[in-house]
Amino acid sequence: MKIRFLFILLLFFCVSGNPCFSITKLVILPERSNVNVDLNAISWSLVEEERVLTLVRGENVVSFSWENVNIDSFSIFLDFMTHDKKVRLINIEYPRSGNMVFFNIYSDGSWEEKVRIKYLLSGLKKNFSYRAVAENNEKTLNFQTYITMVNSSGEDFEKSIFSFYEIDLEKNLRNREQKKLKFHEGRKAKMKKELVWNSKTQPHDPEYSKTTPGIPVYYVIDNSTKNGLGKFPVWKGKVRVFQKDKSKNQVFLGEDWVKFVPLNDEIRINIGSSRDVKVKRKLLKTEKKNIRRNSYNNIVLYDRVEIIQYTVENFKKKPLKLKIRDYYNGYWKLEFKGKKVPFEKKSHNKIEYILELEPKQKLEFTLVITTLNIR
Amino acid sequence: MKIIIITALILMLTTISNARISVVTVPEKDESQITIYNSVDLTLVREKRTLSFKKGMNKIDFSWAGTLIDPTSLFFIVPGKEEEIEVIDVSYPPGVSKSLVWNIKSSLEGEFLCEITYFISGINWSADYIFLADNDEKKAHLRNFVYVNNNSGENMMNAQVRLIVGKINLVEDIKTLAGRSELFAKMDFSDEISEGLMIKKESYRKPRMRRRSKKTFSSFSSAPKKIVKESLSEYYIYTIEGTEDITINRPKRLPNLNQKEVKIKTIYKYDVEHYGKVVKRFFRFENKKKSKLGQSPLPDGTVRVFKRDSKGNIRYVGRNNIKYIPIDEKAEIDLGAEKEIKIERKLMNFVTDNFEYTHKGNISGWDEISEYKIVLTNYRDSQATFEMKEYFDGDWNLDTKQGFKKEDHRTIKFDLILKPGEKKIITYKVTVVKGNRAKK
Repeated sequence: MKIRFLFILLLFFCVSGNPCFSITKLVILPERSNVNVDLNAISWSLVEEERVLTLVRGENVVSFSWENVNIDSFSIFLDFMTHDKKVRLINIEYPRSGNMVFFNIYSDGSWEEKVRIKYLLSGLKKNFSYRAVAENNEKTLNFQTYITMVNSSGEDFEKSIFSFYEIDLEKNLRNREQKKLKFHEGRKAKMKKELVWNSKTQPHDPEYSKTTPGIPVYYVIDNSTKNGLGKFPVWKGKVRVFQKDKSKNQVFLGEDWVKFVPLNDEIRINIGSSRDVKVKRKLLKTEKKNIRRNSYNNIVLYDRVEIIQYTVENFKKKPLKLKIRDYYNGYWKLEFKGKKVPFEKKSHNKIEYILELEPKQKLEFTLVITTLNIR
Repeated sequence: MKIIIITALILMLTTISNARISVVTVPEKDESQITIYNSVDLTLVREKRTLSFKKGMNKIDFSWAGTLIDPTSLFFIVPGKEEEIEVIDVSYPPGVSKSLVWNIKSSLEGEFLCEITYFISGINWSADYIFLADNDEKKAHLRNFVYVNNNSGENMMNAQVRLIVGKINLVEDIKTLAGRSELFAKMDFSDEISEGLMIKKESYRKPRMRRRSKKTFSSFSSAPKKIVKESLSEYYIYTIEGTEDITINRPKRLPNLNQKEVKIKTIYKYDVEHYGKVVKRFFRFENKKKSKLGQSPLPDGTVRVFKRDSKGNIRYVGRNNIKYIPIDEKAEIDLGAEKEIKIERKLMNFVTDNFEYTHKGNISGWDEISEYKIVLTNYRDSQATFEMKEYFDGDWNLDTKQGFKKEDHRTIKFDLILKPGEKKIITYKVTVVKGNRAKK
């Protein structure tokens, strides 16, 4: 045990009328109880613990010292629980030796006093991981949140309450021990699955790729109470996704980092890539139109017309949702040539075409992108 | 055996330090299943063991010295009894390398089949193909094998083996995570192996030649094992019939697909932008039922191509890699340069014309007219299907008597048939508009 809480009897000696004191001896080494560790903050954990001190009437000095642990000495504070108004903390002394404080306490009587001491301790860390188990139909999943407490504080914690958000967990956690436990489980949460092809990162003609390019596949889950989740935000951590096969065995589908997701926001997990969907983007034609020239016969203004053809093939026997993300710069207008597909303008230069592909469907659509007033 | 499971019963929970009583059992594996991924170094191991539980708190110690297990992946359940037998927490005790303790609360008493899953590094699989084309190059015998290699440090005995065909997303290497089993120390796994810490030396015996005893062959079956394919999400699972011993440093190669009379076609291509100034030869086939395939996607891997000659002898054509082929998609095997089809591409004439000037007399635009002659000669004794691509940049216009297909704004394709011994001449004139005259 690295943190010591000593009750020291203080004896006064008066020499030549000048009061001075000396610490005489250790009287009690009180056991701690009701230890509560608040894990909500990132670097420091608030530790609260109770001890019973035997106080004498008058002045009492209680030392609190620590070794090989990192305590913010200005965070240390005492609450008196038994005789709140009859016991008073006069001051706290910080000896030069460090790693120790003296509580100077005045008590109106001699009695046992239960105190609650609070301090900030570093080295107690937590991290989060998630396990999502999707049903075979990929419509719902169970989303389990795990917290791993890592104790590198230098201090052992036995039968302590570890608090995070509104959850209190009673655990033993020895120094250098890691403990992982399930924190929350959202059952049968609805999920969506979508594939996202991005014109900036994916090959436009997969025929010439050395390996069959995969289109990133995402699981999208609403972190909402309505969806069986949403009791807590989703904290940064790794999510591993599994799916039950026909034998009900869980097969690993992939993993992703998730960033902090507040309540009612979307959790997006990239599980892997689909190689059973092919997207081909072709620039069929490019042409300058509405050309304006100056007196030197130089072009000063024109519109550029680009005809872009997308060919999408779903080789799977299942329907799927595919988003095609494309980017156009400048002042542009979009028209469909022939078949129209739904789209969403995500920003001034980003557009997403949303395709619902039937099993084995091959779909082709052609766009006319006119970029106006190019100087 | 490097993975050790010890179950212990805790009767009293006054403090953690004195509650554990004694080791109860070291249970053997009842069943095991390994699911090997080919896109990443990851294998999912599922072990089933029968463990005894008492009502109240139970402890299970699990240690894995000398193996490449990712400690964060270890997972314990009692299938069908998840509510009654529940993992309260997992403790990675201080000072003990590659070990954990599951603290399990049980409202039931008795023996139950438990499932432990974890990720391990060091086992991988790959696919390879033997492609034997008939002499007339219209049909082929396609054989596919799966090759499984175990360098994980753990023998996988009597395990059901499943192979995943697919590209999963993995954000951290399993090998890296396996080395991070101790929180404060970096594990050097190679040292651990060489010093033999907690590892039986015979596991790492150097390979040597020796005569096998008859017993080694006693488990042979009369036919190759079937591999059952099923799809799951974006992946395919190949399940090898029965169980296998996947032992350290003794790779296995199992037949997967064995399909005769696969329809094939030989294609010759000339495409400077992608293949350089050579005629390339390809075998093209489709992963379709009508081609006698199409049962499942074909995984990427190495293909060794052979061909029967006119006497029925087999000769080696070459080796290349083949991409993943979805069901109903076409595939091509690159057979390299073909010297018996010759191409001569010549610029025959070059003209500049239609100059435009600024009012100061400077040139502001013009046309460049190029005339090309392409001579194709088929020296082979068989007909050749030939695809030739040409690329033009800028504002161009093509004039030719030869039919072509415009692939995109800068690519055209000629589809040609060359009879045995035939010489074919293609000419075209391309006009490229330059400067301020250009409208593209």
